[in-house]
Amino acid sequence: MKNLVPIKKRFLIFRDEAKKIDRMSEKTSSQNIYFDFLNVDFISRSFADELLNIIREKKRIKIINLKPHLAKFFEIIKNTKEKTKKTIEKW
Amino acid sequence: MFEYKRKISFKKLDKEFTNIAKEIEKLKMSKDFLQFILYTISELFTNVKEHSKAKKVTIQIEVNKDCLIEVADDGIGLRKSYLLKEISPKDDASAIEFALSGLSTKDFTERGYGLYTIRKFIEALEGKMIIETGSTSALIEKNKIQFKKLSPNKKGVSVEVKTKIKDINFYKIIK
Repeated sequence: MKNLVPIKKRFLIFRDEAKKIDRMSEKTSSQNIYFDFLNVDFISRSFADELLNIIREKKRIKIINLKPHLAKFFEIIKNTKEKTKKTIEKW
Repeated sequence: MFEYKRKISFKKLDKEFTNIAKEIEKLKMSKDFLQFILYTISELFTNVKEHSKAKKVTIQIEVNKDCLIEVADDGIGLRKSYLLKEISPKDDASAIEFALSGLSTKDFTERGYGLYTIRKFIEALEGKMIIETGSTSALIEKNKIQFKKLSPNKKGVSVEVKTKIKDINFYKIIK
């Protein structure tokens, strides 16, 4: 599949790496671009935060083959972001 | 079980994390505790990369009966990193309190959780954390912070985390 990009690194910790995914997505004109996380075993909170920011902006970026513990982690970070946003809006 | 001590260039943090993580994941302990170790190192490395303007980073990790993680940089220190973002802690102790409360030197939404979450782990594990920056050392233990004056001043930031190896629910704590 042309618009499938495998992520080769097992450990993703810095925001730069999420930004790299964003840059890669800009190189393709396909409607959706799929990033394959099959090899990824660990993501940091910063990486997850940055990637969620990017995915929110660019709906065509899709993450596939995310391991269950990483999916759980992403979900927690996503929920925390929403809670933080709501708290700030209340101020 | 595992001992590691190295002083590295700031630019090699990413590669070093991979080397450390590959060794850590070989250790025989609960997956949640392994996640805690990797999470803590990744948060401390991220803080160095995003805020410190450091050149060198000293890393010490020991996992035996206890777990010790120490990351120290030679950067601008916690207070100055806040001042650069127009947040003004009155002194180094306030800067440490800001960081522990989750106040980020960046913007809102999910930024500034590094030391705040590590503190939550330390409390759950009944361990301790020592943060040193500028003129101040802070010992965080049993839900309390004790400040001490440092002489001479500490360049950059040093964070030491020490805890017994225990079962925890990693995902419950990071919520």
